[in-house]
Amino acid sequence: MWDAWYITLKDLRLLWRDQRTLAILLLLPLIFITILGTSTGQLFALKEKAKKIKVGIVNADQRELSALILTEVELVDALAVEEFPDMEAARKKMEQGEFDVTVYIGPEYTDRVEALRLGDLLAKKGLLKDELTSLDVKVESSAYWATAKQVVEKLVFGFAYKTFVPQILRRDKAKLALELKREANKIDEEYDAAEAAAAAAGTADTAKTELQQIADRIGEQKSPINESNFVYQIIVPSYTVMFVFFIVMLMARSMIEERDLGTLNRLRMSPATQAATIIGKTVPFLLVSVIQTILLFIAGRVFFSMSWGVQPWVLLPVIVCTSMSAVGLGLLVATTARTDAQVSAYGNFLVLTMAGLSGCMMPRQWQPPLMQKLGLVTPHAWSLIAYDQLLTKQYPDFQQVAQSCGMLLAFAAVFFALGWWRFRSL
Amino acid sequence: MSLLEVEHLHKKYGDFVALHDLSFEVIAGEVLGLLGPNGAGKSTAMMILAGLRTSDGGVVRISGERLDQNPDKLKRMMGVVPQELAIYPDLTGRENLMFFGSLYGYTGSRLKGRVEECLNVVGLAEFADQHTATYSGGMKRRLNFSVGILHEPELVVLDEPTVGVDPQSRNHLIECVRKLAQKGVAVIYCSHYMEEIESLCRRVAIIDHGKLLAYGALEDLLDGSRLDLEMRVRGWSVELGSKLEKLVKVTSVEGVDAHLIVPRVAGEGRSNLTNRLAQVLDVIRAAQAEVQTIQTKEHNLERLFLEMTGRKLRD
Repeated sequence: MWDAWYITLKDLRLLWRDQRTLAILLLLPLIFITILGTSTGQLFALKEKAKKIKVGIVNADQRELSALILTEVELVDALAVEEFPDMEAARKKMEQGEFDVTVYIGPEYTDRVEALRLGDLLAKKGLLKDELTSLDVKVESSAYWATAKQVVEKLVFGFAYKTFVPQILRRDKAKLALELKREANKIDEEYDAAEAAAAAAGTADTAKTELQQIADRIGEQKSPINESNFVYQIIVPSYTVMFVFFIVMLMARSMIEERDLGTLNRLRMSPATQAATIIGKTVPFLLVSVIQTILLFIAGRVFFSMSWGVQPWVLLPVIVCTSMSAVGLGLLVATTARTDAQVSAYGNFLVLTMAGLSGCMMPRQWQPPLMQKLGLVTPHAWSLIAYDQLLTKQYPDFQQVAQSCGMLLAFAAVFFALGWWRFRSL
Repeated sequence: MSLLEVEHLHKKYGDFVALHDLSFEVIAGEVLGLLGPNGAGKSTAMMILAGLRTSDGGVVRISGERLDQNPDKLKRMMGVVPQELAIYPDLTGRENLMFFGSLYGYTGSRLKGRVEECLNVVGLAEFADQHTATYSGGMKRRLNFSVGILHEPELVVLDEPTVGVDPQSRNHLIECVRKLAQKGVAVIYCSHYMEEIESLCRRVAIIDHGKLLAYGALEDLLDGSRLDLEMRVRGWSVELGSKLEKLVKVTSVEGVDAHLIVPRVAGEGRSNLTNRLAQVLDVIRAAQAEVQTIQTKEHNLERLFLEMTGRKLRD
């Protein structure tokens, strides 16, 4: 195995002398991360994930009851509300894309509410059988926002219900309302008495359930994940994984060059075994790949305030397993390609296709379920799954991380076995 | 005793027979010239000797041991200097030698000492710490040679070691080979430069289409046809050609001019050749043709090679 060590040292020396390539391996992903982090920040950022639905409201009723709906809708954080004088103006803005959904409260809204009887609140066939339409309220949206429209419809109906039910109760069944109030007061008093008794018995501290205590502890823990720079928690590992696999081409080129120089034959003529030659040719690139990842993660932290998650050391096995699968693929490409041009063709195709399929270019969560499943045929996807757990979750699923590492090692084993088998034909 | 014995070597690539029943041997201290046109099977033979290919039949023995049964041990006894410059351009000359030396088990001061020795032998000590990418063609060839002999092999296979080098480097390399043989190293020297083979080798093997065409002492191979008679005849005709068919070889015909060779048959005495010449002249005179020039021609290795392998261009 000393032969493997000598070959490793030789290749490390050659790599060190090819500093332009090393610089590209490190700088190119950093440039990508910076550009994409800046330009796609709005798409990725956690704050922006809770993007508000923009709702335009036209209140043609203009009376107290309809104003209450407006008040309720404006209180919802998920909605950005603006009032318009008429439907035409609202529709125009919606067509321009400035608003997603428009709510039209018709002039008959208050009249129709006042016509409701207590029984209509529960009846299926009463005056509320068509929900908002029954109340002279319409919700419109473009086809793209159809789902949001349904949500807003239900929300507005709920708010309408909430605002007119007390009025109907007051109007029709004042006595019933009074009884309900008394019942509520009685429940509160019983609850207060129970708490006072527990305090007297000295069990006040233990009154909190175990669940509440855990919840409190969780609440006290500060999340290590920097939400303001959440975008980098996603794109640093994504582009790191993508560029780690660019080692495939570097490694394949090195092997092809070794063959073209005739030095590969010289190695074969020497007492060095095939195992020593393959290991010696692979280890330097594995080291470069691991160092590349570590440096990119350090750069992510220094330049982009990226967090390394709650347990940074667990990143190491993921880094090593990812690099192993990358150099395994490198060996396979090296023993499959015949020329430098073929290395570029195969390498670029594999690296870019796998990166696209796996979610390196677009977060896996954004991909359709089928694509997410398809992506699992790439080692990239498993690496991203592990990084997602470790870098974006406050409570990572370590079992999932272990499974991902296992899959990465399986990919590495398959690539190595095929490369080993084909090595004699190189 | 033979250091290398090659017996009935056979190799096929699909339907193409690359080697057919090839046998030869090399004894310690001998330089055997291996000749053959491109595609003759030399490279295949050398790759099998170097352990880069396996044969389909036949046996290779080094020091009496079969190469296929003990490759690891026998590889250490063999040094190969390939035609291509199998050195790392981004390493210095010294680093190249240190690396390949370490693969053969040389370490520490033994490795350093041997590297210095090799650098001195090939005249590269002064340039040892320069990247080989900056070396001239001749320097690269010399380094390529030194890598092959670094581990002090008992058998050295040299494939076109002097291709594309200046006369000084070529001369230096040939001297190095001669010194290796003087030290008792068995050498197989493959080259297209016939004068190199003639100056270095006592015995040669000529192969073509995977077959051994000639094998033996260079003197014996040349002696059989050392003296040919070459003549130029004016007034050539087809009729005259048919009359001389059994007496001469016609090398070219241009209109009424023809070039002929009256060859000396192996083992034939000078008087027989003179008698045949007299017959040829009689026939020419009878046909009223005219002998314009007549001269003797020394037979050398190149002529022998071309006669045996033909003048047709190869790939």
